[in-house]
Amino acid sequence: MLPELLIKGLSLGAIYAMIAMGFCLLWQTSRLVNFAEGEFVTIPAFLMVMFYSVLAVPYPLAILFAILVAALLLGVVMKKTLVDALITRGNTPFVVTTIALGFFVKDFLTVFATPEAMNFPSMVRQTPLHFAGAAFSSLDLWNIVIAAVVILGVGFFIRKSKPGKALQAVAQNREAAVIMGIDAQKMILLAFSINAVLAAFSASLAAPIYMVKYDMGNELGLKAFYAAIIGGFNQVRGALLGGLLVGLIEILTAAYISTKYKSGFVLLVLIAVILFKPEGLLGTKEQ
Amino acid sequence: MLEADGNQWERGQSMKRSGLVSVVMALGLIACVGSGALAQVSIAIPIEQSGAGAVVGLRWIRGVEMAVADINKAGGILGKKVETFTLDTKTEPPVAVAAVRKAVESKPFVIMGPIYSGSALACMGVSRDAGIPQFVGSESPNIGKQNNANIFMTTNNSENATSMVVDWLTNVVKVKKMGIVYANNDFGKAGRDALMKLLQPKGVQFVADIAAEQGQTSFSGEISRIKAGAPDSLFVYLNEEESARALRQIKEAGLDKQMRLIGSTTLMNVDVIRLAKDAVNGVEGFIGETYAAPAYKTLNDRYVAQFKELPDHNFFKAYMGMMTVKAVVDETKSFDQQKFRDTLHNNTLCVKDHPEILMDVHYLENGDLERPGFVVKVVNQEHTIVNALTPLHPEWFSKCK
Repeated sequence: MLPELLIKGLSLGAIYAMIAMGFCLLWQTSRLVNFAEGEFVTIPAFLMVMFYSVLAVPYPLAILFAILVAALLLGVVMKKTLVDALITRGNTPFVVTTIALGFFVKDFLTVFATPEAMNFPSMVRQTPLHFAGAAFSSLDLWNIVIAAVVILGVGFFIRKSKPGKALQAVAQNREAAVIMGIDAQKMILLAFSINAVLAAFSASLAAPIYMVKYDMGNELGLKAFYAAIIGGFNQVRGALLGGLLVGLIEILTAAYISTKYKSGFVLLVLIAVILFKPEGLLGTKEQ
Repeated sequence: MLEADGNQWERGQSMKRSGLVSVVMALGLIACVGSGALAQVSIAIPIEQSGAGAVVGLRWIRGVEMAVADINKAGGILGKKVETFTLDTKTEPPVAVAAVRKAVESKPFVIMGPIYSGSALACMGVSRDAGIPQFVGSESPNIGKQNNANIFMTTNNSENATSMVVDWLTNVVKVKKMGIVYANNDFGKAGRDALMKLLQPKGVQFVADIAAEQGQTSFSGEISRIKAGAPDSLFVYLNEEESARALRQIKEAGLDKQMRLIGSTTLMNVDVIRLAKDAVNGVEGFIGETYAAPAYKTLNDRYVAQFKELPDHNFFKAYMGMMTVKAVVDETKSFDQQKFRDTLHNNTLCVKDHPEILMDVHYLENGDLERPGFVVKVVNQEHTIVNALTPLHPEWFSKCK
């Protein structure tokens, strides 16, 4: 049973990790926490259904268009409106505003799209697989592979590309980066755009399993937030570790202890991390 | 690849329109009341129009309104035209209380709704205090246990439903080791308790007893626990969306080949079939009202023609509830609400006397009802009736023969 649970936990954790990475990127570049992160997953999921099912756009194009629109809407428009207006006022007004934004998105989708759950197909055919006595689905494997590719790709972009290095510079010391001629505003825009793309990829993985619904982001956003805290808010690799840990803790608690306490155990770990290593498992202490 | 849904989006637009229509109708009703034009019978529908229950609420409204259209077409009730107005409970008990409070201000003859047990339990005192009979779409036995003489169910409660299938479970399914996964809410707990209470004395062993949260997405942990218990049957007592998610993950884990999947009403709901697709095939269990039953065929055909989808049990419940109102007023020949309550309590209404109620029904003193039900199996994503179930007290229906 254990190998099976590990695969399931990693599959779930991979989705959390991608969303948690977004939290970390935004924090590092702008010192802002986006509490509408769950809705940032819901919006591209609805866009995918709209393109594919309502507008009959071919499947790969529907996903591509959803990612592009999400990047524009949740990256560029978000940066040019709420972020620019609030960034100088600190994190608290932004947190309150994004909480309100989350409620607004849910109400908007309920009224102008649908309150019903909708199916969205997966990129791969869902078939049962068996390996070393573990039974799992092709979707679990797909989630792990896609999440790994996206996370490695983003990591590679941040470490090796010029804009990525500039992003790192802003994350490490914004004032120094600005003195060195880096446009911090552009880097924040880049971070919001990457965050939107990560959320859209998460949506494409979550939608076929959990279905598309106006409140699908509630649990995803919250768990990813826990993951970012557990792993370390100021380290992208911390988000990865945190996401996978949260996924594994949930699945293993439900299987070996009680399904009633699976969220509770994640919170216990979260509290322990805050008490004993407040910067997160892989995070670094901030001045 | 699975097929995606497009018509839910369109139905969303239809919900928005129906919301607007409701507002216009409510304003119209207020205008009529204000002008003293009281030659109509007013029916309040405080119902889930947004939030988690929006879909079932929409079908309930359609059920009441189709019944009202049929009643008005046939000349109304005692010659009076029936008018309805809706109020949104937002699937939240406090809002349901406010909605019913608002509804009673308009002095409707009866209140039709809400559906969710939590909302119904919260607001039933308001209608009792106002003396306005209230029909709810809930299935929790806790509603009847309140002994509120003003409340009336529109379907068998989950305890009755389970009692009706006990013989089928023990004699036909021959269940020995059962697993149960239930929604951790009033609806789920009541169903789980009833099932255990009735099956444990028959020697059925519960090897997995698992609570799942409302809105839960991943069932991997639950599935592992079920596997470990190795039951011969799994009873899934979840709300519609969670049922669909659970069934898909159960099929993915291959559990559907290792045990019989059994449920009650929600598990075979048309929305579960739409969302779970082939993962729902083979599921069987109790359902109070199904489009596959001959008694509901004509109404089903009309619904399909009008709304381009299959109706669920909430539609039938609402239609029959509204027709029950008409049948009782026809019997009492009066709009006296006390007389209405007294007549319906401990009374059996027969289709031979009131064809519009579609199925014979008996109302108990506490507002619970008994009505024949069905065991259905989902084959090729459609209901197939396996067994027609007689009510628990057939003697109450002897006058209907």
